[in-house]
Amino acid sequence: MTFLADWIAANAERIVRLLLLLAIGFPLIRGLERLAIRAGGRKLSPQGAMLAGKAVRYGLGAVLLAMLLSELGFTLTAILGAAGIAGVAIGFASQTSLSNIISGIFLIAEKPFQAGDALQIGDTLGIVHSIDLLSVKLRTFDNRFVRIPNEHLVKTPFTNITRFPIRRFDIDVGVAYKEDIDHVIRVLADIADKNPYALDEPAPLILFKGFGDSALDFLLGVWFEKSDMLNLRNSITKEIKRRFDEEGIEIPFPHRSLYTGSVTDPFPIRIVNPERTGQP
Amino acid sequence: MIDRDRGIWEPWRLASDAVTARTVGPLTLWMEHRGDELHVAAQRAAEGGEPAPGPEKPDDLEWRRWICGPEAPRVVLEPRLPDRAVIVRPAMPVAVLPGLSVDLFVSIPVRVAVRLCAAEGEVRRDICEEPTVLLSNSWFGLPVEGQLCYALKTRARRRLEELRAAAHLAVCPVTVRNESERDLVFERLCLPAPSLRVHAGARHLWTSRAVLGYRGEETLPPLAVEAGPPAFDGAGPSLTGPRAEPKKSMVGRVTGTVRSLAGR
Repeated sequence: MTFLADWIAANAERIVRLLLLLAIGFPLIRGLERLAIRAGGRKLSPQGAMLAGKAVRYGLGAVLLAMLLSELGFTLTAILGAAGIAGVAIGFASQTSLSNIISGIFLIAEKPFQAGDALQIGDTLGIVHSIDLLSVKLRTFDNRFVRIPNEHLVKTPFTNITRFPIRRFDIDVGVAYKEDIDHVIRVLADIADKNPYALDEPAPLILFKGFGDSALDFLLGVWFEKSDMLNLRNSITKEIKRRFDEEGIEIPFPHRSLYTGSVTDPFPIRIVNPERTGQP
Repeated sequence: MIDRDRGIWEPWRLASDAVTARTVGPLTLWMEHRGDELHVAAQRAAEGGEPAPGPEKPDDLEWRRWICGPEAPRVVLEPRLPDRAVIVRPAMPVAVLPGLSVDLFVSIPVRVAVRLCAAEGEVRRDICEEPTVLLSNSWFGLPVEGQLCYALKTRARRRLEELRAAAHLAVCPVTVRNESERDLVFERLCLPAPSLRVHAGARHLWTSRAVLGYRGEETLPPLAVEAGPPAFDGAGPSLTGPRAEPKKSMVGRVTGTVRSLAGR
């Protein structure tokens, strides 16, 4: 106890300075980080503002750490030298992490997406939750958390579904061969025209694609504002079914016609065991 | 008891524990003051049909409620223009020859705002707003950048007496002057509905008059929204002000409008 009291008495001034550094440094860094986020929010994207805040936090944190070490009597030159050697060793040991960090910097600079965009990466579809130095975090539509390393994103093609304000929803529609093609096209055009979520401009695309196995195949492509996706899908598919029923247009199920090699001859039937059926 | 016998845009006091129905074109608004709550429901007639509410309120209404106090509230309905620009397409393209001017009348379905009045004539606050007709969406601009609008088809009538009087339609007089040396084909027009006022006339609701002068593709055309009531049908002071004042970016919109008008 005497030793501790003596040490405190001998280093009282240094301890006060350390406590002052801690007491002022941490709140100051926190305040400047918030300021950077707020200022960045006015000029940058939400992701950019978040990164500005992190840069302030880690940059000033390093300065504060250096000041604390210096106050404790460590020689910074020696520490930095040792850190350089350690950095090389750590760098070799953590190539993947470094690759992710560099990929993350490229992603942030290229801005192929930002927080809030909907991304399709392979089989994964979700909303970008955050873009960090090592990885991008997605929240899927069934509320699962997916972490994707930045290196993977740089190497893999992905689709930003919500990049542009409007999109096209394509619906494949099949009708029976007996139906009048022009009538079907008119009905599809009317359905698109009356749907409040379908944009009238760009005009809907209605295409007779050809002769399918069981149906005449049409494509109805309607443009919509990206936030109306679910409303449009639910309403227009219901409307197609309802209008086709009203107009007497048959939506066929797959047919399989057996062909015996002649158009006019009836299909030949041979009774194998007449005794069992009781027929001659 | 259902109370229907009232003027559409006049304020009135809701009777407690009685259902009030107000019909504006295809829209019927049902209102009821029950205890200290105001209940409001909207019913829209099928396309092209006029609503004919029966003697009793329908069972399938979707009611919304506001806590407004035990005193029976004074309510007023207000006609409002759509909250987005409206892209108007004439049923058949109209071409204006060089040097000519034309007045076109475009009927825009209004939305109806339900508002509570604190005292005689003093409007207190919005309760809700319902469109009389659900307009389809449209897009003005490029697929990568543009503006979400409503779509409207019009006959672009040119004579006042041809206009159909309907409580839910506000007539926007559009004057198009072709001051260029080429034909001006009117294929579509982007009307800045949020910047227009609504005025009451003798037979129709009216909006501010929009004047468009086209001087050729290189010249910025001056689109002017006149501040006062249009000189038709005895239109008086505005019932409803603009939702938003025209912005500086309006110049850009006007350019787009005229390019559209020119059919490019």
